[in-house]
Amino acid sequence: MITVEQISKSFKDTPILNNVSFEINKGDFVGVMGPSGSGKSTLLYSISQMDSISGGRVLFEGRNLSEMKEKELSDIRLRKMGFVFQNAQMLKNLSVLDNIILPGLVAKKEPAVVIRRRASNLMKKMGIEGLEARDVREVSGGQLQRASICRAMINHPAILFMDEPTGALNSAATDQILAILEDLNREGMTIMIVTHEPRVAARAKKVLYIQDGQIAACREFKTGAEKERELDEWLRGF
Amino acid sequence: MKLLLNLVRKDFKRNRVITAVLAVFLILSAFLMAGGLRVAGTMMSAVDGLNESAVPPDYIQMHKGTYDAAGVADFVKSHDDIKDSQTVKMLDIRNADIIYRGETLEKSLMDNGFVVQNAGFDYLLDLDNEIAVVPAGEIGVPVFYAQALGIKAGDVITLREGDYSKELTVATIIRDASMNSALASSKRFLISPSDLNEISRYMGEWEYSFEFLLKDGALTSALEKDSRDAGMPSNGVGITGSVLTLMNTLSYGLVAFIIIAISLLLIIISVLCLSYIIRATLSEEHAAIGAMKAIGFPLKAIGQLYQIKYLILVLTAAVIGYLLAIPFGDFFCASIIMYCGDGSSEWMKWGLPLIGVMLLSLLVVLGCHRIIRRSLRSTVVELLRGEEKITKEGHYSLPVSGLKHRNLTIALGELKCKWKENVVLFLVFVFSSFLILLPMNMKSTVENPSFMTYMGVGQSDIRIDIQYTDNLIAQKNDIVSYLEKDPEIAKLAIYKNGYVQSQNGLGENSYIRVESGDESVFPLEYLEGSAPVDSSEMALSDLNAAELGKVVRNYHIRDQITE
Repeated sequence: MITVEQISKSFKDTPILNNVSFEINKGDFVGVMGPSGSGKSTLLYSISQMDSISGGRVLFEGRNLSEMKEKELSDIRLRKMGFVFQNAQMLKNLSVLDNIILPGLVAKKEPAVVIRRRASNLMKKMGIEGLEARDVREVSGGQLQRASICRAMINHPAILFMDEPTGALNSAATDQILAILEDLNREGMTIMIVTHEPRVAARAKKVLYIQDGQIAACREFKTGAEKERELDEWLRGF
Repeated sequence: MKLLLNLVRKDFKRNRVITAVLAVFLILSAFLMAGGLRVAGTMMSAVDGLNESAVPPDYIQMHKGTYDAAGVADFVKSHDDIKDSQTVKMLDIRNADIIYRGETLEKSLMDNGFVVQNAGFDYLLDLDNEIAVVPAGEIGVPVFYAQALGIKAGDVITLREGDYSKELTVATIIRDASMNSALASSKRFLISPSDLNEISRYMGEWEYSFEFLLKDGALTSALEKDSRDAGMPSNGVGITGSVLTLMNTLSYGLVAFIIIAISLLLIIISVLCLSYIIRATLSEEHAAIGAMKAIGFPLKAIGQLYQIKYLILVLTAAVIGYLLAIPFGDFFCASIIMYCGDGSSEWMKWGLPLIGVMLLSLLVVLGCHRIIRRSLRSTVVELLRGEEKITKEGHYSLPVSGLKHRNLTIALGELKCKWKENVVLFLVFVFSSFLILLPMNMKSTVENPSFMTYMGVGQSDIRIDIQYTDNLIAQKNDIVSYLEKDPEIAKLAIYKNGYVQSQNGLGENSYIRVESGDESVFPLEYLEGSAPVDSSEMALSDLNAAELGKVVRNYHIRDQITE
């Protein structure tokens, strides 16, 4: 689905990513880990073209994102990609439901009533039904993060990009979110998640370890109870 | 669009205070802009309309005393550029002899002349801008007096000299394209030929005005010079059409000018405030813009979202400002309309303010567009992390030696980093201060006793002008001997006025008015050089020097002063 070919990214003279290459296939659940400042979030934003890259290219479904005009990129982000940020990044002037349905209305692919119905289903699935009319400042961080996952899912994206989605959540809320993500992945959703928490990365099928702007290691994990322990051991090697 | 409008509506609802303040600023700017232009439009239209109907002369030469009529006719014949000419007989009557409601016009500083309706041009008009016709026993009163004294049709004006008395009923109020302005020192009353004949037998002094209409392209300055060279009767002031226009513009246009000047300043302040508010709002909104970009909101739609918000504000302000400007403009135009009429072209008073508010709206919208577009150029990450702001703001370092003046160091550092925002604030303060101080400064300047020295007149308490009489010298001597006996007069000086011919930098000849006498009694301050000390020296006003292309020590005078 996504082919990353030798991408580099620098800020002024400081290199942040250095010739990074890898692939994400349909149905993958990729976790990106690494020490603070290693470039893991930059990698995620570079792949999704939310940040410019200094070199290399990113192919999405065979098309080079780096060569696309802003309008085409917006369209791909709107229809094919979903984003979840550490801080939910909701529009503060809209209610929870309006925030969720906004990308659907902007896409103009389906009638508003269909989008609303889907939003209701998603909210129910995420356990936040009843918050539709609430102001985004009136709900908890966990609820807001789940709402932002609903927003990311509203246009049936091909891939979900997540940057530390549980970073500001307590352990119960984190577990809830992770369970939802696993469910989504089982249903066929491709997910790329950046995290510094091993227990979050343990839900991924494949983990990339970034160090000094490069992929230091990549490993696929089998599913099962041993996965978290296996990941811990692997991480200890860095 | 519905979605965007919905977002904007919610934004207005949440940010009521900012929206209201911004709206007030914009409404005020649009209101003053439209108001000023409405006054200007009405003034131009009214003056045009008056000139169209009244056909004022291009050049007037006043004269008291006898004159050679054949010489005047010859002068006219020998000048092809004169389209039409006429000699107007005006009976000057002393203000003490004109009585309205039991009081004389002595308090008035105007010279009052009685005339009959002109035949060829320079018509005196009624309040419908039609050529006024006054039957015997009636009188047309200048609009100046109608306004100053409240004279209206049906009132009675009495002329009295010794035993002779004549009552005239006010038939109409007169608009006079040549002498309407309060700045013109003479006013003309219109009466019937039979009344003029009768009155002239008992009172008054004849004064003549030789009036000329020129063909297109002909220069009044050339006619003025030729008239003096030809020795035409000139015992009185000469007035060119441009002076008449200037007097009218100054009288009626000053209000429009002040309103427009203030509105322009307010517009600058509004645009600066707006740009500051938009920058501040957008920097708060960077995360939201980033989120919108991230979820695939098209850039155009994000831009529109913010532009619509300001567009709604600007258009609302423009409509309200335009509507408010109608009664406002009409209030300030009342005097112009009274003096000049409704005007010839209605579109000016409706169209000019409309163009003004449209330009203002465009200016604001383009300003917003520029700022918004700049924000949209940033990447999602820059917007979400506020990096765009950080790179633009730069940074400052704390001194290695420690913080001796911590507040000052930090304040200066912050100033340096946010210099753009601070420059905007600084300019707002500058313009606001200017707006506050300007009227106060003007008031104190005008009220200052030395203000008159700016006009080239020494600072004195009383100035008496004796102009153009046959017995000028005798009158002067009488006045001087009277004044010298008055113990309350500390010092006095006599100055004589006249014309000298001069040549400008292009070698063209023209006449300039000069004054001579003992300048040391009421001294002037000179921009350059010093007071003239002998007969070969003269001082020029800054304007005259510029017009004639002269500097200090230039050889200038061709003729000696002729009284």
